[in-house]
Amino acid sequence: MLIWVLAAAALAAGVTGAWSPCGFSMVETLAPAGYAGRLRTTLVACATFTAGALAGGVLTFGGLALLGQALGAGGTGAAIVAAALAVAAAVGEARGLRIVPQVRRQVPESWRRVLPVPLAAGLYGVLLGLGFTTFILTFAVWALAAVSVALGDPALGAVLGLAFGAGRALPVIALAPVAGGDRGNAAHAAMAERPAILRGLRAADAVALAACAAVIGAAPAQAASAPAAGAAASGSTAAASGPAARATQAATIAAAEASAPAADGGLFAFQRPGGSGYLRRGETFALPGRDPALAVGLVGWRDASRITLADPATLAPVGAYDSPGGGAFAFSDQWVVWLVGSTHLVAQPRDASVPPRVVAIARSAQQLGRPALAGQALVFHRAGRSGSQIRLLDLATGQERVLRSERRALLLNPSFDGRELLYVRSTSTRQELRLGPPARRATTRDRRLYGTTPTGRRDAGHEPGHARHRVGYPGRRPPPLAPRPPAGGSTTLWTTALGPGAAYVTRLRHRSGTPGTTAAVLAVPR
Amino acid sequence: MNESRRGFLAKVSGALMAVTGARTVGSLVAPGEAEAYHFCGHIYTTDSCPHPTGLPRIDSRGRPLRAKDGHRVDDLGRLVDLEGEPIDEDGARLTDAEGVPLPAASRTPVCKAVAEQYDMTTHVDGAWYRCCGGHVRKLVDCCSHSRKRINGDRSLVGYCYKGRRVFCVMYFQTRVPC
Repeated sequence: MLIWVLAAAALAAGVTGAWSPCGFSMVETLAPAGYAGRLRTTLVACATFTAGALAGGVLTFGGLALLGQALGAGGTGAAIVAAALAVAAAVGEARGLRIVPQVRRQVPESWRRVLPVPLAAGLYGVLLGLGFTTFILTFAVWALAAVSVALGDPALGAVLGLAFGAGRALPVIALAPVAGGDRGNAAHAAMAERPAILRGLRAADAVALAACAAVIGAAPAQAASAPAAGAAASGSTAAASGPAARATQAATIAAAEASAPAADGGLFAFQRPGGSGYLRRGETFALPGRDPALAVGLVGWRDASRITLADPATLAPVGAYDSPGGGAFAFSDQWVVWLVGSTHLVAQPRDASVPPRVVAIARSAQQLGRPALAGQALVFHRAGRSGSQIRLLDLATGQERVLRSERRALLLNPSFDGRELLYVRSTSTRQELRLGPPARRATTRDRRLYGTTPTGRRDAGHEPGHARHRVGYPGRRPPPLAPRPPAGGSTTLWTTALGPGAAYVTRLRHRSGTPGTTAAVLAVPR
Repeated sequence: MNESRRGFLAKVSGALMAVTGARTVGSLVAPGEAEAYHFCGHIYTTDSCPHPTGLPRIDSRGRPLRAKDGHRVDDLGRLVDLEGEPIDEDGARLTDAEGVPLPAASRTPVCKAVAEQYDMTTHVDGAWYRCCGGHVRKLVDCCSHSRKRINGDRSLVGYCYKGRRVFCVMYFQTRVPC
């Protein structure tokens, strides 16, 4: 009975060891896509690894049993100690305590590069099977070692060692052949990211150890009376287990508490967050609606679902359009275009000769941006997880083309005056306001008018107690780090406007722990 | 008396042999925690892969995570939720001044982003595991056929296969205690 319980505990302890750095490393090392290079080599390496692990297990636990035998162990006192250790280890395992003492060593990584993989695997197997040459993931290893010594039975020690070695080998030979495939990746992810699995294994170790202790405790007389070699035969042994931004040009605040700028000629307009639009024409005054727009000498605003275009001097309406669900809009001498949600752009001729029609729809998880319009050319952004683009749609012909595109940057909220394109480019290292022609080309060829810190905040590039990497760089000087925004908040460059002498951009600021977002419109000389 | 003395000497010599054997084995294994260079576990001289928030921490699929807490980040370095939408430190969606959510951005596997940035073909090849900060850490190489590494000097073989060499390094922090 005891031999089976001990073997089960040793097997569980070995399997638990797969969660060690070396256990993970072995799967990588023996994988067909790895150093093995092909499945056949992987299978041979798995065989040698198993043989090595079994040999290592026998060496350790058989050797410890021999040591115990040599020291005259195997008596009642030793068995009681072994049982007590098994109980202690079981408690430690059940509570998931950190393993102490720990062996902070690893197998040499270079073997897999300099030796034939099957040979390296065999040697790795020996080291892992030995149990105490690398990280220990369960108290069961220590407890089983103590039990081996206490019982002083080499045969039982050998069985323990074989079971432990088998446990160490099993996960590796099960996972290595499929590593790199979908099943292998899923198994790896589960091992690495689901602590519950390891906790479950340690719970199993605890049960096995408790069973060992119970068996030993139930047969103290046998353990006391039997000679070391006979103890195993009578099934009375014990086991244990347990395991800031530098601007390209100076920006000034054109309007505080403002967003969604618009510019045309000498006119400038903006939106008060949560309030109405404002027009600056010498002095600043409120408009009778939201989402102000400026073009072709007119001002526009939206009141509920109705867009009104008017004379900026008198605010006398010159046209009106129904835009159910509409948000930000743009107009030219020929068209009116409005955004519905962040997913649809709807257009209608200024003369209302035809009803409104959807001209652009966001695909899944994409967002369409605020429209910009010059004549019949509609410019807008498409942004999402697959990258972002600035697109130009000819509303008369329906032809659409990409003006700018980047996969790992956000290109946002273009403005367009018919000759030049202004937009925000946001990456992990910088946010920029760029200006360029309305033709397809790389964003980096456009003129950078303004730059500031990225929205995301980088770290120091090294962990605490370490220093930035310098080795290998010319003069030991690594590239400069990107500017870093202050902690606890984020800054985002957002909507733009293109005036005759200045470019405008909304700066959004959000502080963690505070509701809402504040905004200001910055002006940058063109 | 003589037998007992011989027995004692046998035990002592056996113990000495065991200690010697243990030392021999001990000399084979290497320290499991490496504190060299710019992050724990990385013992070679190759620098990190470009990462949106600096330290090259990745998830099991190679996509970027913020090093200090393992939170997902997009290619802009913004914290993102499970759907990839940008959020603040408290998990609230980032919005514009009118409360409209800001757009999501791409979240590219770090080694793939290296390929795009440096116009080369990259592979995530082998890995090695070490104990860092009380958890098992997977050290991952981003490999290419470039003879130069990101530092600008000669590239090393590292954990790469099939003639590839290490261009830059990343790591995946598991939740396995050690």
